[in-house]
Amino acid sequence: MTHTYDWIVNFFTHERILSLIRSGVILAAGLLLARLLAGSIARMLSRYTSQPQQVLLRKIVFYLLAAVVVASSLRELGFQLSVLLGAAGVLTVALGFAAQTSASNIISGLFLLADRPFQIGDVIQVGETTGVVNSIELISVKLRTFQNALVRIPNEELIKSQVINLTSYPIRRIDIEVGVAYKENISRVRELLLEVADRNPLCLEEPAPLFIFKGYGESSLDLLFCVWCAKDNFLQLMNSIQEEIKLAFDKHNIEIPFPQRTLNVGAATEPFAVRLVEKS
Amino acid sequence: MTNRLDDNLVWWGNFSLAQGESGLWRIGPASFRIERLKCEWRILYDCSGEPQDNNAEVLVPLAQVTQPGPASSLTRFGAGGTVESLQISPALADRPVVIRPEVPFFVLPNEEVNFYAGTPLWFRVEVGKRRTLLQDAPIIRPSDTWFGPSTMEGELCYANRLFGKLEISELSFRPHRATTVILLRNKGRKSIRLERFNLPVPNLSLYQSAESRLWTQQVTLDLGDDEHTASLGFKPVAPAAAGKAKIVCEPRLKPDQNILTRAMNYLIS
Repeated sequence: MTHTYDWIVNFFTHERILSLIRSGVILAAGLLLARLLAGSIARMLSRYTSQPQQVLLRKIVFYLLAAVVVASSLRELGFQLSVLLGAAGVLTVALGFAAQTSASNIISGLFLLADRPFQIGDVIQVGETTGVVNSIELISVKLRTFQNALVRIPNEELIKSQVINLTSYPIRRIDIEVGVAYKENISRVRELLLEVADRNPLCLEEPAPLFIFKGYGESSLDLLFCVWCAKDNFLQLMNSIQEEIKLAFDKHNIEIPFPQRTLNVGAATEPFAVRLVEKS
Repeated sequence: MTNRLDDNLVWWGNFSLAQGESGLWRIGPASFRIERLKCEWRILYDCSGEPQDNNAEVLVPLAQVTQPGPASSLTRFGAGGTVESLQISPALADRPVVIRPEVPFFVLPNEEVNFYAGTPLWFRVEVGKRRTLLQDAPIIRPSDTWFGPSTMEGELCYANRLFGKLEISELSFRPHRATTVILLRNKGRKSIRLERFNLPVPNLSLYQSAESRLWTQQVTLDLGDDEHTASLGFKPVAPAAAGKAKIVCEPRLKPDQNILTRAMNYLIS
């Protein structure tokens, strides 16, 4: 009995075991403290930072503190930190070569978080992809397209390419291209379009609708009519106003012409044979 | 019960509907038909009336239910069981209203001028003792507009082109609009041009005068030579023009104070 007791006492008072216990306590308490501290710092700065920035800040603070805690824990176990740091340096170089793309994405992610060209919930267009920003992470940004597909775009690509944020500002402009027949009175058409915009409550009164006579097209007088709306009403107004323009044109006999071609027979060819058909 | 606004009708108030009955509130060109079923309230909205119609009519209970027209929109509200009591009340718009004069309007230096502007009303339907809100919708949906120094900065408002009269005798009261008295005071040495004015109606209370007209609190806009700031004050009582009036609707947003000082381009432009 006494032998067993002595063995237990010797075991727990042995230098190595004591180091192991101290190391374990440092690791457990240190990591817990690091987590709490990282959360508190992120919360303290929450008024000045966006949600993705808070997540990043929490991670950076946690991993830095965790590195210190692990180093202290290893030191307690008797490891020489200078050797470890040397090995870590070599390892970092090796990892850096192996993970060039990931590192580039992380650095791009940091730039994106600092630059804040978009926020979670914004609708952005990158190349041919348009969707709502679901998450902004260190490596990539995830979009939900309007077809309800998830698209993951690496941060490096976002930094390199043109990103259009469609919902950055509270109001948006809808550009409607419309052509009318050459016989139509432009002033009358302009008046009609402005009336249509005036009647639609989703169409903003200010900034006022813009009418531009673009020029003489092949088959029509080309017009551009621009109206403004709240960003949430974009699709609704896009549909309703185009329908209303068509109805107004039909009501007032304004012709939207089909593409036309005038064929001239050159002097060197025979004239077209024309067959007259009686109207039934 | 059939009444007209000219006969001092108030279309708001407490009503009772038995199960299976309907009521009709015709306010200007818009109409609301409310139907009480066993486990459901139905509100049918139609705005296909004559735009210049200034009459109001309440039919409770509705003797003959007609088929809804093509422009009607129906909303249904489910409940375990419906109750008899129904409260109909007017409310002011849920966003500021931008008042724009039809022609350029200047306030001369060291002068003050009272003008009267009509603002759109909302139709609010509540049921039961706990006043459960069923609907809070515009009687006639006003057009949206943007008010601010640029397309990036500003706020979404409702547009109001019916600029106010300067004489109370010129006022024409309409059942779907409330009247606001705006006192413009130019304390500066230059005339100030008023192109647009942002009236923060969600901060205003709504009053009913003895003649059953609806008025908002009076608003005072102080302008001076300092082009950067203007101050807007609201008196917490009905305007003197309304006579003896009682409150019918509290402001949607309680202002922190009764004076709002803002950069001038956020109030007028």
